[in-house]
Amino acid sequence: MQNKMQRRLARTKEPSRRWESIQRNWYKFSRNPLSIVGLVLVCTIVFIAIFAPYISPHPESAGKFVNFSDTTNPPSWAHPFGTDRFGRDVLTRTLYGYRYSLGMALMVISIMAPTGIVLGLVAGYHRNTWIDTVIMRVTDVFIAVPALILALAVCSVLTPSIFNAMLAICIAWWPWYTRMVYEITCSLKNEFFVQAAELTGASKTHILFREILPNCAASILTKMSLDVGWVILIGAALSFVGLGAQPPTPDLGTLVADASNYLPDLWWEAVFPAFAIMVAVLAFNLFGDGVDDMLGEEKRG
Amino acid sequence: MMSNVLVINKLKKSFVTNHGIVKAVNKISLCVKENEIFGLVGESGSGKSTVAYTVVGMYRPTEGKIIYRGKNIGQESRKRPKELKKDIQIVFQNPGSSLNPRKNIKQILELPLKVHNVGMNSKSRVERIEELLEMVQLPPSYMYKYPSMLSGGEKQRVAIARALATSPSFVLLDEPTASLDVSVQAKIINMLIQFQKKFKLTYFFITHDLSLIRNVASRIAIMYLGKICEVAPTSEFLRKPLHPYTEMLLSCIPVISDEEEVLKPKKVTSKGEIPSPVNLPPGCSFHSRCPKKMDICSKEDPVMGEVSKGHRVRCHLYDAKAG
Amino acid sequence: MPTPVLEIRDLHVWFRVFEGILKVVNGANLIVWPGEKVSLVGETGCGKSVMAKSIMSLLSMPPAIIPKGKILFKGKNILKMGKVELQEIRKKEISMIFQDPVTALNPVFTIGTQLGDVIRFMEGSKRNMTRDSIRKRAIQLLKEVSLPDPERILRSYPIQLSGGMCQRICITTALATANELIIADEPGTSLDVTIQDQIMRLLEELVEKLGTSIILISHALGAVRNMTDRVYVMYAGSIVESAKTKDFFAHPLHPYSQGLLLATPRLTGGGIKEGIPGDVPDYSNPPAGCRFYPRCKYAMPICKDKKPPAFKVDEGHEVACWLVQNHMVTR
Repeated sequence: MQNKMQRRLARTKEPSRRWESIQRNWYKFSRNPLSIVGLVLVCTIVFIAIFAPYISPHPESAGKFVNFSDTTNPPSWAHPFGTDRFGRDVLTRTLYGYRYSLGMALMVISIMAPTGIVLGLVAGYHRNTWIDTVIMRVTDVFIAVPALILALAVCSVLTPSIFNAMLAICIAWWPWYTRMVYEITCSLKNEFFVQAAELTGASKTHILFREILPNCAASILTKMSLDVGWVILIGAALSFVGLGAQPPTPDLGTLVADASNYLPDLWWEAVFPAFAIMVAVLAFNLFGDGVDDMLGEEKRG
Repeated sequence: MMSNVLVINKLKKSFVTNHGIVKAVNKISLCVKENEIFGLVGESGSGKSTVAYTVVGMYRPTEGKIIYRGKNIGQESRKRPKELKKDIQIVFQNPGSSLNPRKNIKQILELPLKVHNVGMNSKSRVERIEELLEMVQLPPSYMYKYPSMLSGGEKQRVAIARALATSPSFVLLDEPTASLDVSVQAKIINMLIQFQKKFKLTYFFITHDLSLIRNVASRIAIMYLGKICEVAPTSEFLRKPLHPYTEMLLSCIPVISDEEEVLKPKKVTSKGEIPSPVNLPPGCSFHSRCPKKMDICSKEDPVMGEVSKGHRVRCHLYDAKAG
Repeated sequence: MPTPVLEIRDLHVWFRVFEGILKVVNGANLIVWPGEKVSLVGETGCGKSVMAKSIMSLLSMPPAIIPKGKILFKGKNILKMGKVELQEIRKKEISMIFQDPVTALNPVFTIGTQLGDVIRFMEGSKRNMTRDSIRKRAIQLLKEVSLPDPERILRSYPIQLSGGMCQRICITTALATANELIIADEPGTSLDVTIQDQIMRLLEELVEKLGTSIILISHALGAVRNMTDRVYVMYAGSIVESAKTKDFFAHPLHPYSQGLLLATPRLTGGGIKEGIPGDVPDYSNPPAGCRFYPRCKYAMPICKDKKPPAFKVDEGHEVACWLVQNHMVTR
């Protein structure tokens, strides 16, 4: 017969279990050293994005600023990435560029992922009904068009601005989440634990969000991590063609676009921002791989 | 005279598949009495799990009636009243997939309590969960564990605790120990029998293991390809198996002692494969494998008849004797 | 004195995981003589599958480690063999039949393609391997296990065939690539009772005919009673009892074996006796002495500290339990 003491002791164990599970997750994440590289890079990028105004050497370069006495200097100690045609410090603009790119990516993902996920859950749960057909056929239409092209199309209709670029990417990107979650929901719908919850009388909301969604979490979080890299890239592409952030906003794509006409003479203006894009995409990819390892299937000994 | 808790009357359940219509349950009738353990035995494809799922409300019957305590309950569980969902519970076969891997034990056991308002606030719910864990002999610290940290036997015990959380009176057990080792099975079965006596439950026990059901159930029914072949009290079953399929099953059981060998009927070699449920042969569905086949067997489907008290059989061999 | 086909001496297999090191197999000993049918019985988690896989060298070496022990196949240590030698053995001498026949076959190829691959692999790169001769050989293999309509089966995919048929295909493949030893890992478990009976009898017949030795792994005692000559009972990584099958079922001596037999439901009725209390030990922190000590009814102080060796009780009957020490000779 268990006594009250045993029960009380069991209840206090909850926080220590949480710590243990954090440790376990770290163990899984850190199996691959590249994931740790990715984590470090991601942390650095996030840090730069948040503290850009404080760590950049010439914060005024990020905005409307000209200094014609100091134009087009190649990289030097005073300006590690050189200065551009307007005399602005390229390093500062690159650091600020991370701010805009990362901020845009996070905003886009936090809007379209939930939308896509909810649609996928609802469609998958009502499989083979009209709800499924309507949602998934619309999704199919959006998926059929390559993301970049769709984003370009939307952007070209609206006035170019960073906000409209974000909107365009949202419109192009949500279907992928819907489809992924739809697949998982369809396969989980017939699992016994979902049936058990239904038979007990749980509401549809509970089943979708408390039974099925946690099982999609692994795939969703991995995809989100990888997507940050992609959205930065697409955002840069949009800016490159002039449909995203407008000058003088130092979005990474705009930076590359502006400077690309002056290659190879003023190479530092274009190369450094392009390199920054590459590092960001790489970082999030490596990080995403680590997240996949961490949240992936449990392997039994 | 014990009343009938569950009466299944000419139940049919068919599924439409790419290969044709599968008659998983093909007109079966049986009844389960109050406080008894009724065993439904059959191999894979016999339809026994489908019967359970239809009774519990996962499927809607294609035809026929399911009468529970006098009321017709042949609807999907979504349309059933809450009290019914509270009263009929099911324990699934594979504990690995019947517990949500992303929820801990506390959350799993809390759901039925929350839905049926057993225990008003979260504190009393936690107490009830601790009670349930104690009942299935699991320590209270298991509340915060995840199913992947538990062994098969422990997971199944959690599934049983979940089924009993709402204090049901009728529990369907779909091969609850099929994936478990013998020593774990013994514990779980004894626990189930204890609960049955203590809480005055009625069990509908589905299995393919005749040795197991022989020790557990008071009445046994054998199913083959969607139809019931024979129903009898347990002791009668072993003493005088009538249907050729029953004899075949009994003769194939692996046993571990000579006393049991003696009990088994003479070895009946099973010829050929189990026919596909989509292409059922005409006449008796068993005739393609039956060693005692007669001409009439491939033409006409036999009808269930009572050979002696409580012992019913569906076979042309006993057409004359049956009432 | 003939050499045993397989001899496992003091095998230890460990796994490196997050929690530490799991010491799964803990000094297991096993001998199979030519033509002998041996069964390895144990419940989930006892390490029998791990041991079987290590015989076939199927364990991925990290995270698995084999710190001690020898697996001697006809006198040579498998653990020390190079890849080429291992390939030869797998090609001709030892093979394995797995538990779930449908997943043991590749779902995207037809049976004909898969059998063709096996035959080509077996025969090496002989010149006269025309498609026709391969097909003929494949049909011959299917006929050996009494599969009806072999032509149709060659054209089918595993998912189109029943479990029993798939298992027969696995058996015939295994028999074709094994002259000396077959390891059958619970071959009938995922099949229905009537089909299981068929398969086991088929296996028995074929093994007798060819004179191959077989290790039948199972968690159910009933399945091994009719087919095998000797029984090895495994618990938590070591062999606790080994005996001739008849002797074992008549007089099981180890408390675990007795517990298993008691817990098995009998056709004679009488309810199900209480199972064995407790659970399989935690391999990251196993008991120092006898691993069955925490669950044993007859536990003595010595059991806690020292692991019992295998005591010889009778001809061919050994028990690893301190209870028998007083009567018998040590191995």
